[in-house]
Amino acid sequence: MKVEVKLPALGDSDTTEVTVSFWYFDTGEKVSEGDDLLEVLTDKAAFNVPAPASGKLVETSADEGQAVKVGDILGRIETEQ
Amino acid sequence: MTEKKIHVLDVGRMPYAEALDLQKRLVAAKKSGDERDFLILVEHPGVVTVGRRGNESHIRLPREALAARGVEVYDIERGGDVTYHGPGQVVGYPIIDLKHAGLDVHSYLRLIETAVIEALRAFHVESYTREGLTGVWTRLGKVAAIGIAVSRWITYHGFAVNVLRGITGFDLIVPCGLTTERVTSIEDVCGSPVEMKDARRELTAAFARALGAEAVAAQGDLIWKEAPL
Repeated sequence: MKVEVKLPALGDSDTTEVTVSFWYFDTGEKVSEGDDLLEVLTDKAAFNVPAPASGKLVETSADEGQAVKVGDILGRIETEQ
Repeated sequence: MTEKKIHVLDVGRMPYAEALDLQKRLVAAKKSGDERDFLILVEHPGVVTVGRRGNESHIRLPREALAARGVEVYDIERGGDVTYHGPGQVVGYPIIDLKHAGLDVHSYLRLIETAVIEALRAFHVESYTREGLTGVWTRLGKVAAIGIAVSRWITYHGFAVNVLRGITGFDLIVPCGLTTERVTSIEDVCGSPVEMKDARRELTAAFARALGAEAVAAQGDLIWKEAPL
């Protein structure tokens, strides 16, 4: 099963620009639920998006420097089942 | 009486790297199930830190020149631009679980600002936030800088409040990349001497209040491996 990695609500995100900083993993690598998957930046916060499930990171759809919004799909994780 | 507690580690003077290591150990402890929330209070020797939005041009001197003055430079994982920490400043690093506290990143930044403003009232210092910016300002300039990082909804890094007059390190940098920014301190604004311990006490009380928690002194179990109290 593929699980989508979405940008969670960071609060008041209408006025806050959020950009992708970098991914901690490459596609094809195994991740565990709760791992820091990628870092996104607001003005004063560096927020690490936690992996929503354990499995293999099969897709990263947001690149470094890209502006993203709450609910955007950032990548996908293929789980064991 | 609240049941929620925040465990305060008042560590006094501690080099930046050591305090960063302490923060990371507490974050790791929380990730492995420690449910306590923490607040580290520290005073750093002179240091320049560069956040994720950091711009090298916001440091006015080459790193070698800073090193010659005994000022180290650290590139770190908090949000925000360049800042300075040094003697006369109370730095606070809350290590708390945002989900558990019912907060998100934005409301947490606002909570820190509210706590600082509240704490400054004890010194008869009027302070405020500025639309679209993060930090705390007074009529004489910026008095507190804020920059955080969040991992698995656990916060680290935090806030720095200038307490004493004459913190000279800010002339080494362009604070937060704002070229017209004036930096001030509690003493400058209130015009009379302020004790660092009073600033620590008021900041702790105001932060705990904002969080709806009771501040208690942290016990030295997992924390003090190298530096016993």
